[in-house]
Amino acid sequence: MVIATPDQQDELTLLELLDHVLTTGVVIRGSLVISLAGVDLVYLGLDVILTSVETALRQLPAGGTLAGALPARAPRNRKSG
Amino acid sequence: MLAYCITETEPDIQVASVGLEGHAIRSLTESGLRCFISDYGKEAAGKPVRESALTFSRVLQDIFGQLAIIPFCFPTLLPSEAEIAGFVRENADEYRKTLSRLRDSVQMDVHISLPEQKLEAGDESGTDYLKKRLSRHQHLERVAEELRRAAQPWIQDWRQREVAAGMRGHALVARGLAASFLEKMAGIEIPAGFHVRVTGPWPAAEFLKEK
Repeated sequence: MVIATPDQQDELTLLELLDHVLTTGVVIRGSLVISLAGVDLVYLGLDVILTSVETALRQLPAGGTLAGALPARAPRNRKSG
Repeated sequence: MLAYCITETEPDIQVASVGLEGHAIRSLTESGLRCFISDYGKEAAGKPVRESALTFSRVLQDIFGQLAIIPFCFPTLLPSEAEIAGFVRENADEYRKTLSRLRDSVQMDVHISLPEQKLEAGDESGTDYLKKRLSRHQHLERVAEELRRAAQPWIQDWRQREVAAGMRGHALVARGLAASFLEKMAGIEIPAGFHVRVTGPWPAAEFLKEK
């Protein structure tokens, strides 16, 4: 039995910490967040974040960036302004 | 804007952490709730996600160390404080009830894993594979149930789900009993072959929705 607390991060794996912030909590979906658009780069990141950030992060090499790891996609449902 | 978490407005707390890119953490109050936010510039979008997520985690732990929180999934980005306030306002009734229910509770995670059994020569049939999968599932469930029962006096609620590595249990525990819960769990004898890892306290994110 291994016991680990968040204030003893040497005992917690990085994956566990990331798992908690990436896969739990309130997720805002839909047009509210999509209305962040207005700048295509931001919109693209947002689109990816809403759909597959967990999968993407698990595949990242150490120090890799989300922007560099994911293919660009055409914006969808982007609101103007 | 980057949104971190929602809390009740009382008690007043001190948040020493800085957020991503060194931006100050600040709060906005809406509909009897408080939402912690920080600026989030375009420059942060190109930074390693791991570092940003860990900074986000540290901020949450800082606030959660003082009171119950409803965390946002990282990264939750909104264009303005007005948009964040609007989201909080729309969901205020639900969040107030949730925070009231979880005010003095924390979540403890119990990871139970059992190494996958390799199929041996002659075991290639689908039936054999499914039997082994079923057996593994039953073993994991049995251990999870044993752990849950052993810690029952400390547990307000329990939820579990099967994950790729095994079984993950989530125990809702009174904040003041988290240490004794860990102590109790550390003393439980684990069946041979199983690996159990207990972590926490965490925000009670698995209990935001009532059953």
